[in-house]
Amino acid sequence: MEGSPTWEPEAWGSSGGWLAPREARAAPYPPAPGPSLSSVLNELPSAATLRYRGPGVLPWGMLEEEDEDGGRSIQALAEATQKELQEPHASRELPWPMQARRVHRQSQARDQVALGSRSRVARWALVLGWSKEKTQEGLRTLQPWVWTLKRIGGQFGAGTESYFSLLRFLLLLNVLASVLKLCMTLLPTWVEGDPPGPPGPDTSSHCGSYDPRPQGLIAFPTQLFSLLSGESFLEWSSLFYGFYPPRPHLAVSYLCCVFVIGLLHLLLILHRSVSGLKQTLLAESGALTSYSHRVFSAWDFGLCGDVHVRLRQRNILFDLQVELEEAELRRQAALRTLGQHAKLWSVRVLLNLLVLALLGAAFYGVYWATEFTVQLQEVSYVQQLPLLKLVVNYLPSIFISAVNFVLPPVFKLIAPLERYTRSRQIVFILLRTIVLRLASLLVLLFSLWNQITCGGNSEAEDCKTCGYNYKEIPCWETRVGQEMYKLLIFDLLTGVAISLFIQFPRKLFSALCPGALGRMVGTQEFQVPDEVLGLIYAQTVVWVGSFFCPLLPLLNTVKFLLLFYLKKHTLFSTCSPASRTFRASTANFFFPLVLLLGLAISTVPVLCSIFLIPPSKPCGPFRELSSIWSQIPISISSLSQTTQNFLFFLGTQAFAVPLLLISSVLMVYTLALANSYGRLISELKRQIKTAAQDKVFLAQRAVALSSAQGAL
Amino acid sequence: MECRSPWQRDDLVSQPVSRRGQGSAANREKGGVGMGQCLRYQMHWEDLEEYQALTFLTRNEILCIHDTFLKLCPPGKYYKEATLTMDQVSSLPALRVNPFRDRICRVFAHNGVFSFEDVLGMASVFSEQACPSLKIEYAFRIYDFNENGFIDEEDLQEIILRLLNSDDMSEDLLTDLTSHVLSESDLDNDNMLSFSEFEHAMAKSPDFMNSFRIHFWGC
Repeated sequence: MEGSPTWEPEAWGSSGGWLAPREARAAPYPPAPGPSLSSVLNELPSAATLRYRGPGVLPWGMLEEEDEDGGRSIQALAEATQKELQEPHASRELPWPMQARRVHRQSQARDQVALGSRSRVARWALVLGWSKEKTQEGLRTLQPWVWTLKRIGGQFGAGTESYFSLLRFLLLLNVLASVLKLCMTLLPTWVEGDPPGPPGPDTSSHCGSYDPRPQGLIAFPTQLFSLLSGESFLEWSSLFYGFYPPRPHLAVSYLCCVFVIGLLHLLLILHRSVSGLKQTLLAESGALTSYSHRVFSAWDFGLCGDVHVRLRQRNILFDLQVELEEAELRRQAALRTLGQHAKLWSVRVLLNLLVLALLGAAFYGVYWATEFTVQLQEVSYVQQLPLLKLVVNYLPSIFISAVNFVLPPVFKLIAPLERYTRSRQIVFILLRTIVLRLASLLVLLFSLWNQITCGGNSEAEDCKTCGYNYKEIPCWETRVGQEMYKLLIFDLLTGVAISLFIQFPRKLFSALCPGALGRMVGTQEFQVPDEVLGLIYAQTVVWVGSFFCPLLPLLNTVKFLLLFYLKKHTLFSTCSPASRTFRASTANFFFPLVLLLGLAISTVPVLCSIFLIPPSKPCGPFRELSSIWSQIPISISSLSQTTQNFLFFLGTQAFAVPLLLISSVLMVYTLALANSYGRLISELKRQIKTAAQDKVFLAQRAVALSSAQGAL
Repeated sequence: MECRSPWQRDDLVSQPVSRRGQGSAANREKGGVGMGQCLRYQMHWEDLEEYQALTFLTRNEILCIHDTFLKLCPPGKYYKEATLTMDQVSSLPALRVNPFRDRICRVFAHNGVFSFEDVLGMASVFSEQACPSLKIEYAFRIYDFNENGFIDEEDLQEIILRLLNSDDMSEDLLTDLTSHVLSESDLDNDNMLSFSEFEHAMAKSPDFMNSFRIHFWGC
């Protein structure tokens, strides 16, 4: 680093630069007349507090024989102690030895007693703070698997730990959702008497009859397959929407339950993601301090026991090299000529078109699979063979899983060709995989909607009488619920199958077959991003399906419990520590955002069903209404007049527009505030630089003056 | 692993001591059932409460460390008077593979040995609930190898040498990284990082809090 142009390095002595303090201590040379530059700088108050270690302990960097220096510094330290005691610190936040903290706490307690009559507000604030701390500690002890997560973090790193932490969080969400569903949907059903059976074929409804219950004896394989596909005896059960009777109180609580669960989940996810966002948004600009971060936070202190130190060191080296490479790439990018730029961008556009084409093909495949299922189900020999019928039923799920299995590796191959920096490549791969997973689900739902509403054309022949395609799908809500149920079951089965039939055999193979091949086959790593996206996809399926299949959150709780133990066991038995560190900060910031995206996407089909599509006539709690939402205005009209007026006011524009305006104003204000803080920080940084230059200049002058006096 | 009991609330109740075969078991059995004293641990309730107030550790964690301390210290001594050498603490599983274990021991020990309260203080800084300012303060002390109150080039080079294997590394990489770090974080251009500059850099690092954590102190 070259010295600043305002002063020359030679004026500082033979060593040059700011090595004077250390040099003075390391090699005490014969004292020059008057104080030296280093001793002057060491006497500055800022230098004293920097080395302060706590009362009663020798300050930092102080050698035991420097008694007279010690005397002076201890005075400075005592003053610093006084200063610290005046600020109301919690004792445990002070970087002092335990005895000093004990003394501090006792003196604080004495001060409090001496003050005695504090204002009531202060006392209440104290009690509130204490009770908040106690509740937080209580909630922390209630968390399960704390020990397991620590063990995983210690052996496999913070990235893998964040996956299991997310799984635990989703489990909590599902437990809360199941409890709410039980209270608001199942209890009201049985409170007012047993629900009736399906409407018989002789009812006067012109929208057809609907009786999915099996008649006569059924073979056991058929029963098993119906369990897997949600048909026959499961179809008219509390598992699906169609079973619930058309009672008004049940209808209201059924509808409100969905909104309550959605709101509760939104609040919990926001609460969880706020801490991650706060940490990442605080950085003025991540690119400015990445080296410092990577060097000082490189080693995960939580690693313990027998850890592959060599592997960790290679990881860190890889990270740092990647960072340097990226700097090099950026430098090269700045030097590119126009022709090279054009070529690069044309390659990028081409690759993006390829990605879009692949995604389009995947979506069309899912759409086609769903349409084809309906046609195949009408073929006679499919009806006769239960196993074939099951496979045909599962065709959309199989297609979605196949697409999710095949395309992400293709994305990983394409990404390096675009010549972006490594971190940006990872972001692109993740984004594309997310789009693939969530959009394929949407395409499935879209094709279902197509079948139900005859392509949105309410004047089509099939949909004219009842508003939906009653001939093919008499109870469309149950049908959607069944699809989501099948997706859930298939996801669980694929997870178990991959563990049992791919991961464990690979481990066995590597044990039986030593050498390079065995090592290559047997080295499996826990791919954190892929697994997390799988979790988010599963949760989105449940969010979509819980309106149509009220017991789905309960099933998902069981599924996630099984998944936790399965993944944990697979991790410890077959996986080796990751060769690329996955930063936990990315996980804490990125994945809650994607979870929110999943929640947002899942509201689209649910709201569409509630507001746009007419409910089925032969089944469900809304069967006599024109739309599912219309139950709410009907219930409101039975309340008192003032409540009605208030609730109707909430829906008018006179309420919505001012609310929107106020929210926009608040947002603009917050943005402006953040902007001004950023500018303030830059300004303060500049001032620190100037102050340091002033300090050095003055110290230099002081030394020059005193040596001139000494010479005289 | 006796410390693994997140659901167990009454861990000061007597437990079968037969699991321990070491010499200190006899000492503990002599503890007797006094008011506020447990059969298994030598710690009094009041001491436990005080440690909970003075550190960021939970009750379970303090008892776990107490366990470990008793296992390592010479038998027959009261835990408040016993000391551990720096080597003993360095060989704990939590610190055994840490490249900075000698610095950690030097920062947290007093007069070259660890008393029980020193070990608690160390665990408190590394615990999950510790506040960022405390962690940053001690991280600065740990990374200041030559103890001059600043992290200068020499310290940075030592840090990088400890993090990477010397086989994989070249001089260029070392100087490159050092200069990058200094150019980013050194605000007053004195070729060193003072505490405030370090604090400013680390306060914005989202990974620092996550990586400067030690969960388990057993052995």
